Amino acid sequence: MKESQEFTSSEYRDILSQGIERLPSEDFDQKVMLGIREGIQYRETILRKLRISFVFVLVAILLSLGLLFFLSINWLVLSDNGFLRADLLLLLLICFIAIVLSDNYRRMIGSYSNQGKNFL
Amino acid sequence: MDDLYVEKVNSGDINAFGYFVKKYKEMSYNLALSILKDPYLSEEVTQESFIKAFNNLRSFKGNAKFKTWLYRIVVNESLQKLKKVKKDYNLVPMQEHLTEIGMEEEPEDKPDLATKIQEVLKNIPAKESLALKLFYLEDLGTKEIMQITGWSNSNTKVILHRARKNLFQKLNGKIDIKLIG
Repeated sequence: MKESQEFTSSEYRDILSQGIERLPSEDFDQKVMLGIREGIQYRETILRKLRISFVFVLVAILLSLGLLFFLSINWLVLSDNGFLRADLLLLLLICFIAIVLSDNYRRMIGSYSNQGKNFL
Repeated sequence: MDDLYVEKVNSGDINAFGYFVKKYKEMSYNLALSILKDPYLSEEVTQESFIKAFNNLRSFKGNAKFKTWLYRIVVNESLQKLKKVKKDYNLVPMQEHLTEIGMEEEPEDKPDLATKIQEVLKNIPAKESLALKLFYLEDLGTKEIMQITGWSNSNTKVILHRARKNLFQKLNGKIDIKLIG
C-alpha cells in the first residue's frame, strides 16, 4: 500500500505496460495485407469497368450526335418533300436513346462509387 | 524511419506497409480496446484502420508523426464503430452477454498481475484509459493527445489527472508495485 496519493510516472508506465493486451488473431498482419491487396484489386476492376463503359457511352453519344447532325441537314434541305415527319421521329428516338444511355452511365458511376464507399 | 516507409509505400511498394502493421498493431489494438472494451470489435476496428491508413497514405503530409496520424484514425474508427454498434444492437458488455446466455467464463483461481491490470483498465472510462495509454506508453505530449482525440488542452489535462487518480485508487493495495518493472 502506497502512502502517497499517486504512483510515480515510471510506476504508471510499468503498470500500463503490464496491462497491454495481445491481439486475438495470430495472423493479423496477413489479414491486413490481404485486405489491402483485395482493395487494390477491387479498385482496379471498377476503374476498368468504368473505362469500358465510358468508351461505350461516348461512342453511342457520338454516333447519336452524328446522326442528329445528318438528319438536321437532311431535314433542312429536304423539308419540302414528305420525309419530314419520319425524320423528326427518328431524331426524337435518337435523343431518347442518348438520354437513356447517359442516365444509365450516371447510375452506373453512382453504384460503383457507393460500392467503393461500402468497401472502404 | 517511418518517413522512409511512407515514401516506399507511396512509390508503389505495398509490402512496405507491413512495417507499420507490425510496429503499431499492438498499440492500435489497445487504443481501440480502451474505447470499445471488446476484443473482437477492437481487432476489427484495428484492421479497418490500417486499411484506411493505407488508402489515405498519400494525404499524409508529414506535418505530424505517422503514429499520431494513425492513432487518430484508430480513435475515430473506434468511436464510429461504438456509435454504430450501440445503435444496432444496444451494446451489452461481453461479460454481461456471456452471463446472460449461460456461458460465463470460469474465473481464474488467482488472476495474475497482468490480468488484474487489464481488468482495471477495462473498468475505467474509455477517455481515461485512452489518455493513460497515449501519455505513458507512447510518450506523447498533451499537444499530440489533443491532435489524436480532438480534446481541448484543459480537457486533456483534466482527463489525465482524473485517470491517474482513478487508476491509483483502483490498484493501490491490490498489486505489489515492487513486482512490476
